[in-house]
Amino acid sequence: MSDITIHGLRKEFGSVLAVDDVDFDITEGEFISILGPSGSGKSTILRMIAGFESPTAGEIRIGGDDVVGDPPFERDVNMMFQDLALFPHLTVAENIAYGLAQDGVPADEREDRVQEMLEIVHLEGYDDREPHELSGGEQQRVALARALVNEPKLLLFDEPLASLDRKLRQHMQIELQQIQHETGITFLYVTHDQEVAMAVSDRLIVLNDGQIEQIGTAEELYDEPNNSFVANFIGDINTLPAELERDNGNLAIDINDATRTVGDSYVDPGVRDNGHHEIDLCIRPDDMRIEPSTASEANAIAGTVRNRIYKGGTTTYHIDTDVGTVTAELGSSQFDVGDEVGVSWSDDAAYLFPRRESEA
Amino acid sequence: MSSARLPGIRANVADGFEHWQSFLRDRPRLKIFLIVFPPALVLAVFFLLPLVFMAYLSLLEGMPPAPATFENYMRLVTQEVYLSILWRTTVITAQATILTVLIGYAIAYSMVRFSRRTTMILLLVIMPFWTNYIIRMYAWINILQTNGVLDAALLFVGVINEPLGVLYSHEAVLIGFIYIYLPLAVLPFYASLSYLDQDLIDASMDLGAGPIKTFLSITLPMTKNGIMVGVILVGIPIFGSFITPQLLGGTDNTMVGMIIENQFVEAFNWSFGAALSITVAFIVVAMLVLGMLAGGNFFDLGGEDE
Repeated sequence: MSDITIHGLRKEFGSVLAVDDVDFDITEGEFISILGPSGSGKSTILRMIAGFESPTAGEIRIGGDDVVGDPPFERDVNMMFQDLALFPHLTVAENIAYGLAQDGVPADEREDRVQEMLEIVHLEGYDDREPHELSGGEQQRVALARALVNEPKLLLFDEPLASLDRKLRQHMQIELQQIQHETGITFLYVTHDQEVAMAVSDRLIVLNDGQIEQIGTAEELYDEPNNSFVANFIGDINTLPAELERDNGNLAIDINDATRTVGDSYVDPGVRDNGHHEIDLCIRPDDMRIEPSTASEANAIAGTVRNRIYKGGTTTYHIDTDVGTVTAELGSSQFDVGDEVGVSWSDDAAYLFPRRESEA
Repeated sequence: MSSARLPGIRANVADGFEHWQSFLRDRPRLKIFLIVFPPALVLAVFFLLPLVFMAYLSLLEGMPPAPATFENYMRLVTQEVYLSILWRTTVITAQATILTVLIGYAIAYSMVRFSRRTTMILLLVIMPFWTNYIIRMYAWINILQTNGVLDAALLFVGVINEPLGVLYSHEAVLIGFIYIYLPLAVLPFYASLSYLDQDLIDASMDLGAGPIKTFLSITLPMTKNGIMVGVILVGIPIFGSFITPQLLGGTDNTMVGMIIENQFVEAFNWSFGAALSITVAFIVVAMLVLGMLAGGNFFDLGGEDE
């Protein structure tokens, strides 16, 4: 049995459906992220688990017990808030000891555990500072220590790193991971930043419009996305509108009036047999090939290099074609802006998904 | 011609303005003087001067010109009646302030936490201000007098068998004060409570503190400054007021403000009235200083280093 089970979780705000029958399990000691664009309902899920919002329907089981209906102060769950919510009138040590005091831990033990926490987050000697005297990164650490100190069954993160600059964020990611390993506490991290989520998490939950699109490891989501939303959200991808047709018994994909005949096994049965005519064909930029238009393959898409971005090891090209702008990442920088080129890819690099209306 | 001249004038004006700007930029002391002088002058003429005149008057035997004396202050501290009135004034002020602050905090708290019609309630709190103070006091006389609105209502419901006649009592004065000064307490409380970040409340609950503990250890200390502002705004005018106790309190609830008014308007002993006024001002300032010393720096929002 899983340690934390979310089952049929649903939240309606008036007529707005924020969370739509969400199910997932978390194993003890796991670092799991909920990844989704803003407005996808990820913070609402977090607030329901913490107890700040009550679900319209569903179960939240922590260690077997359904905690729906329990107030936040009775749940063995702590949260690290987006704005950190450090108590400005208390010192660093008092902030960290706050949860221990509520649990009735005696003063001298409280002192020891605060010191222990300060050590873990590398803030030794900061006891008597006040939150406003600390830098953004230091405040993050205090908030983390405060949430960790009474060893909750589950620690929730509501995009707490969003306010940090890129370097500090990357540094904090690594530290979060280390601290999670050291303490063995289960982390549930909510973010819209796929880079952070992929870097730190054991598993990711991709959320869109209140529904789970896919759950898996970063590799699974990148290599085997369930649909074009996940493919788009996890890493960059080119999405080309295409049509799936049967021509004399052969399966064919039409892109830009060029037809590629493919074997039946090439197309996922879910897409092939459900009568999907319009599909999205998705290819990662680093799976794209570019040839000079004179030498291009028969079914390549003709285009013009709009710009090129040299990135050291690789070069990114944006190529204008009749089916939209295509991004390609190549090891060489042999093409120039304005070059007429042909864009192609190997068939096994492409993902085919039922077409869906693009979302912002 | 004229169209050609206008831009020239405009340029001259702009030049002059820029000239003045750089002139002031090079003279920071003059700039500060120009900014500070007008309000300082207003304060000196309308605030400091009358106070000095009051102090001067309190040290005279009668209307000026008159010989100087300490007699007015001696009379105040040696005659028991004045000391007991000062004491009673202090007690009433303390009671009325505490009650007003408690009720005001409860109203402000419910406005911020529970109400979806905050603007409406805020309006209801402020609205009495638009009616004249004296008229509102006469309304309370109507309500509180024997067989008045309150008695009639209570008799009708059957809570009491005989009219209470709350008017002309200690309680009537307290009711009047609470009614008049409640908005002055609600507004700063509302301001500081609505500045309080809901995430801090959530964080406290999240860390295991129940609603009461959260209120005591987060909400109350975080709104300490607003509470102090409310106490000062309510307490100081109550200490010096004379109309409310006069109209609602009758003869047994004399406050020092009534004596001062009496000395100026009826007894024509301006010197003694001035001595009483200066004493009241001194007590108020002393209470403010004591409060600051006891409770730390009320006006500091950030929390400085010790």
